[in-house]
Amino acid sequence: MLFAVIAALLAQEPPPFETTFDPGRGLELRAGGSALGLAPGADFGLSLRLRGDRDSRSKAGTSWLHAHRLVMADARAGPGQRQLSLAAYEGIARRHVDDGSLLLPTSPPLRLPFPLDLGLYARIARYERRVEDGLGWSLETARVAMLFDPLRSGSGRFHLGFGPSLAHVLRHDGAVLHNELTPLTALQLFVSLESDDGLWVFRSAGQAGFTFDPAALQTGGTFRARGEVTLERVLLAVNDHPVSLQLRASGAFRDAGALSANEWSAGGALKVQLFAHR
Amino acid sequence: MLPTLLALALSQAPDPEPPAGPVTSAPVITIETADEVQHLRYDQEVYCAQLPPTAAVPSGRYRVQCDDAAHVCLVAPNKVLRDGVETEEELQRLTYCGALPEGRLEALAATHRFVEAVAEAPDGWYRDDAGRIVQVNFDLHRRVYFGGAWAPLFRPGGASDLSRASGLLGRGRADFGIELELAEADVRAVYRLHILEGSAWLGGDELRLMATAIRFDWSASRLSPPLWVTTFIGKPRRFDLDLNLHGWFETLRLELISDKGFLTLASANASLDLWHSKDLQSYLRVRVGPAAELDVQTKSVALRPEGAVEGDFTLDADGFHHLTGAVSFEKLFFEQPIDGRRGNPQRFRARLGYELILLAINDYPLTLVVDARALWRDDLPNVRPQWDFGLDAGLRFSFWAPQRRTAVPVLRRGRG
Repeated sequence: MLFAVIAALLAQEPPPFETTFDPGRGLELRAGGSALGLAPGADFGLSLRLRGDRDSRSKAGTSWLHAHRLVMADARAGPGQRQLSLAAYEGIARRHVDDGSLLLPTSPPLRLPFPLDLGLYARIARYERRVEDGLGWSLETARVAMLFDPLRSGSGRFHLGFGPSLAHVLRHDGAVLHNELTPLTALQLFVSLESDDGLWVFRSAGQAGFTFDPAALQTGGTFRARGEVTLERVLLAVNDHPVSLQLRASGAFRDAGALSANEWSAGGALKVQLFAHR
Repeated sequence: MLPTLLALALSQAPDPEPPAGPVTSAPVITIETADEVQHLRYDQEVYCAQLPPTAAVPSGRYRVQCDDAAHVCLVAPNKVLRDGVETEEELQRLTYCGALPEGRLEALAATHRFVEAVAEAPDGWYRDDAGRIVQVNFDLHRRVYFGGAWAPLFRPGGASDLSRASGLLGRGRADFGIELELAEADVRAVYRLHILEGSAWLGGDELRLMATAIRFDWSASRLSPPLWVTTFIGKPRRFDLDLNLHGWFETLRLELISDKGFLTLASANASLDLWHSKDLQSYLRVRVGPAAELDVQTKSVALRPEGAVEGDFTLDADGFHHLTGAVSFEKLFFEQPIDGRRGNPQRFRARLGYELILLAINDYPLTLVVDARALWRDDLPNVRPQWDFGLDAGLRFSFWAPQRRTAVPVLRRGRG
């Protein structure tokens, strides 16, 4: 009897389930821990990812690959730390051409191979508040960068973009509100690499360069840098919603919080990504 | 709502008599007597026919159901018999009978035996040899009930001082409630609605009332597992988790104890069936969730997380034996501080009950109800937290209580 039941169970067709995912879409929920400097803390995050592609209507052989991240919220709680970061939007749109070229207006015109895709990076309304900084806060109203991508992948799973960025930041140190401008004097980096099945994801983003305070131009620019690297691996899926282990490291040089502090952090988190179906 | 439900319950009075239809006139037919009483089937076609008059059925009006494979027609009198003779009393709860086609009766007379039988009865109902019908299968999850019980209370003394124990024998309980249970046609989901259900304990120096305006919950039997986990370490594997996760909701639950009153504004629990029967009427489940509770005296609202393990078991196919039980826990948070009461008070309740149908009056069951109860609470100001135990025994009368959805044809009294 028992053998018959086991045989019947083994003979059953296994129900279908997702084994590949799209890390570029869905609602991300993240919870984990990290060390900020040497201080431990718990991290929580939420964001909505969307992406897509479409062929250009005006230029044959050209396609637009775009990835967006909306309603980003990150919070951190730990001994003496209560931090909140909110951002409305972050995304890129890369123009991929099958055969890149540069046309020189000589006579006759000269057509040179151009081994880079062009793209646009934007981040809008990023607010950062740290209770331990007192009353201070910072708000990056917008950051826009033109990206060059030497990978030139025809897939939205691979981006490697770098280029000059333009930004405006309001930083209130608790007493005085400062305007900070980055007039194409910083370098923006954006990297996103995914495995075919979407189980592995590597991402990195950051910027480094000089910012200027219009009220104190005579003091010159201030070098600031900020960057983040994440590596994710899907461990399991619950009802076909992937759950990933995420390792994360980040650093900031004269750019963290309202007080423009230096800091680094490293940690891990579990991330569930709802509706990440292909 | 209540009058509607009562009207619905009372409408269990006999179904409208199906039209008898034209009666086919009689050729020469001999009606044989069966060794064992035969019954017409409710779910198969029945004809009304005029057969030769007999001493028992002088009118010759019969209900006829034929089995062409066996070449047998069962024939049953179309009226109730008394002392073995047909009366004018109509049979109740019959299916429609049509007239036999022209010449069909003569053809049957040539090829079929005609055997005496008892008229058809719906599932869960029994028709005796005289044609009278009684309900022998009851669904106590669909009813309007009221009842009373003797409900003595016992409070033990301290752990090492039973001399402080006290008992209260002169105490009674009154019950009322409306239970509805709606099931999908294929019984893949059962929705339970309890309306105005409650009990009041009277007698002694303490009045207790526990009544709920509306409680709603459901159980479902799913075709596919509601939760599955896929692992991606090595070859992807899927593990199905057959969780029976459902909902349980309650609103306007009033608890009065002496001069204290607590009103649950709303409660929402997630419930997990640890087990349920195939018809979903019996279950053992765990539920947890938050509730908002109003302290009637202080007019303050507190958050009340709660949890319970509860079961309801129908022990026999005809629904005569029911075992119920629950262990529940409640704790108040953000409550208004009250002198003489500790912060974040809590309540612990346990109940084990048994209900047995003793008899039915006009097909409405009268049940014996026995409950054992235990209660511990520290939410009453200036009252020493302690256990009290009750053992209630009484009777309950239920309107409506139709046959269970799982009822089968009853061809012998009390048996399917």
